Amino acid sequence: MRSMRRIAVWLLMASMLVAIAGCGSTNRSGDEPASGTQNSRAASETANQSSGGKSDEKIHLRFTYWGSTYEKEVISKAIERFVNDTGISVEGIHIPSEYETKLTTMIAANDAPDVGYLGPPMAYKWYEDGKLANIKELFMTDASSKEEDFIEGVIVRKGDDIVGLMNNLESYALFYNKDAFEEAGVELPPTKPEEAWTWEEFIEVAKKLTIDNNGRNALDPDFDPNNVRQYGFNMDIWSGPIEALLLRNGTQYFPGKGDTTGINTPAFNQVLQNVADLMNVHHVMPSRVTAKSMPAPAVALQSRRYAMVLDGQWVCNDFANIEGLNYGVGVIPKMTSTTAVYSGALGVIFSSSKHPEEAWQFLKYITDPEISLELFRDGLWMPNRKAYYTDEEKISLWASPGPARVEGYRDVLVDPIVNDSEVTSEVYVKNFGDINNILFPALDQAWTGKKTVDEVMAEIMPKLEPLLEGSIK
Amino acid sequence: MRQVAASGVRKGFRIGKETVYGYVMAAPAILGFFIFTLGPLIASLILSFTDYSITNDFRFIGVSNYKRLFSGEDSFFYKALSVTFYYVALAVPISLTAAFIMAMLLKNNVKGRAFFRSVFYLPSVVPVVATSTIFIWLLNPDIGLLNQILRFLHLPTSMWIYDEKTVIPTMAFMTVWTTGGTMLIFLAGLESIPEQYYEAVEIDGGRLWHKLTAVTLPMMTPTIFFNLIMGIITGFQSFSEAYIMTEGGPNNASLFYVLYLYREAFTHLRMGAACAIAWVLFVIIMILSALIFRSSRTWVYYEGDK
Repeated sequence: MRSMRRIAVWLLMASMLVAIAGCGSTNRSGDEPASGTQNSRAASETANQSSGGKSDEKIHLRFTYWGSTYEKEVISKAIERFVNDTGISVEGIHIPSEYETKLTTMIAANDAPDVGYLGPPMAYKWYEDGKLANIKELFMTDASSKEEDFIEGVIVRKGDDIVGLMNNLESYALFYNKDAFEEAGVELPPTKPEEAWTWEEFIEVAKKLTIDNNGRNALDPDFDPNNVRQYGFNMDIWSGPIEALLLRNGTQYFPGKGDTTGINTPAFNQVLQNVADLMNVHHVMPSRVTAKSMPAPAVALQSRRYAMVLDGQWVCNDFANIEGLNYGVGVIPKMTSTTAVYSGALGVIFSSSKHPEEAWQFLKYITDPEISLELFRDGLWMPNRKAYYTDEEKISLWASPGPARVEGYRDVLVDPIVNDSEVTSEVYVKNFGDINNILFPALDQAWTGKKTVDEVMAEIMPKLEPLLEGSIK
Repeated sequence: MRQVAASGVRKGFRIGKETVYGYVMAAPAILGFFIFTLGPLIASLILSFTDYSITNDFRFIGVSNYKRLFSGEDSFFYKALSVTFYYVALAVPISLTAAFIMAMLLKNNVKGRAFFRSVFYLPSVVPVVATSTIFIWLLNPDIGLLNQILRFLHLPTSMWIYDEKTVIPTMAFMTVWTTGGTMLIFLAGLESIPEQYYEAVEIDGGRLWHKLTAVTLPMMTPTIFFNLIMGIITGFQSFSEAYIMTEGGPNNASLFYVLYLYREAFTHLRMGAACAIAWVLFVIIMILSALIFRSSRTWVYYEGDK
């Protein structure tokens, strides 16, 4: 009977071992492709062979993605079509929020998907950790896709390797309520970059469109900035739209993908101060607090809380579905330049996948405008392939006028991508997330008008400097 | 078997059937503790000395995670600490006082006592997420109910959770809303005070004030002590309010320590650093608890003690 006591002790020991083994297994999974690119390439090669060896076995891919319920619907349909076309079974896992956290736990549990979306900063990190496959080989040996077919910044590299491909592009524009313009008797925003408003012209227009509860606009000396019925302008404040404006002043976090930062240069601070002044000096843009209680951009524009918004072109999908919104698209005003910015989520293949070739095939498939045309035509995505910006026939497939592609869309959003654009800093600036984490909370003080942007920047530069390590090459 | 049992008896061991059943019945709890509490606890202590980020092949990096925190290299650490201390210093006294007063009121034999007790406890049943979402609207400076009332009374309005200076006091006052659990414990404590003590005060000519200071408060010190400790611990672990209402803003003025920990762990995936942050919190709470325990000898009165 003494053995009972021993058994109890053993049970406890065993349970602790289980716990320790739990930690150990994640460790081991990290071991495999540890020394990065070469190993992971080798791993994917052997995986190829093994998948070739048992080709009669049913291939099953797991694919993770985010997006609205609308996006989910279209992607699910595309998956179905892919399954029918190829006989490869694909399980789509839709993760609408906390995507990277969820994916991290999947990796920790040795349960990574085969293929999925991923934000660029995390993609670099996981590539370095050996969790993502180098898709260069797949890309190069694939006869149906050539590097030149894609828009310049779509292929995201690290050194000679390819980390991922942007599934789609996104860019920014000025969207406005036509009725608001008509009522105020103001000319509509230009659509051609060369005719873009200067910043001063833009402020003038925004003032005419900012109307208080007594019907006076912001140019009126009796204008009441505390009781505004319709704001002339609004934009969300995060790195995306801010970068769209930075490029309008010829700067970026690291201009030209270089190692000399644009942060805290006069051009950089000027852009931020211009935005702050829209709120505190010109009163044409709501304070951040007031903006919080405003409805979503589509509704706010429709209900005339705003006359213009600067937003990503994906809002076209919402705008097209709002009853009674007569909206137009215009080019973002320039300060010194009219360069556009584009970004996009990456499609990546995980190094643990046993079927990287099929995963690659799948990635190509769902991002092909001919397959999932709705995503493009209904406003959510812009294509990642060059031909859809240069070939008239292909352009008309997705960008010809329709509810989500209004008059002027092509001038404002399609042509600049091939004529004059830069890829977002997000895909090449080191410590991008950490930099924003310090920058944006501190800028709250500038948005409320308590401090100037120069003062804020001077305050945080000591904290930022160690993070400004240049661009990923 | 019998022989084994007999030899066990001879050596002074006597493990009967009951003991075996005891172990078996307790096994889920014991196993649960080892696997889900002690195991992770030890793991996190070990990981706090590594650069673990879930996806990487982690290395031991000594105390650099801790050094990074205390040297101020991670500028959010001291900010989060000061925010949290400030919050605890405000929220704990406010919620304890409010709970105590409510409990005193509800102890009286008023009509509909059971009803009022349920009503005051009700907010504690509502999830923090729901409460916070409601408060976002109540506290909205433009259209929120609170400022509407202030405007109606021609009183100055506040930016509430949208200003660096007012965000923490606002959140501290919000705790009054959810202090029902503490109130219930106070109520139980009050109920257990024997009536005759109050009668004795009356006989000696004492009034309400004397009852409170000579009987109620001394008799309640163990309950206050318990609620104080629990209040401080939950105060340091506050997370949801800031996560939902302010995301730590404006300008990190409501960056609660646990929110900072969460961000480090699940947004930046710096698990090693997050483990170190967690252990620092553990030590802080332990020290504070120890201090309060030590001080309790001077102010907590247990019946039967000398």
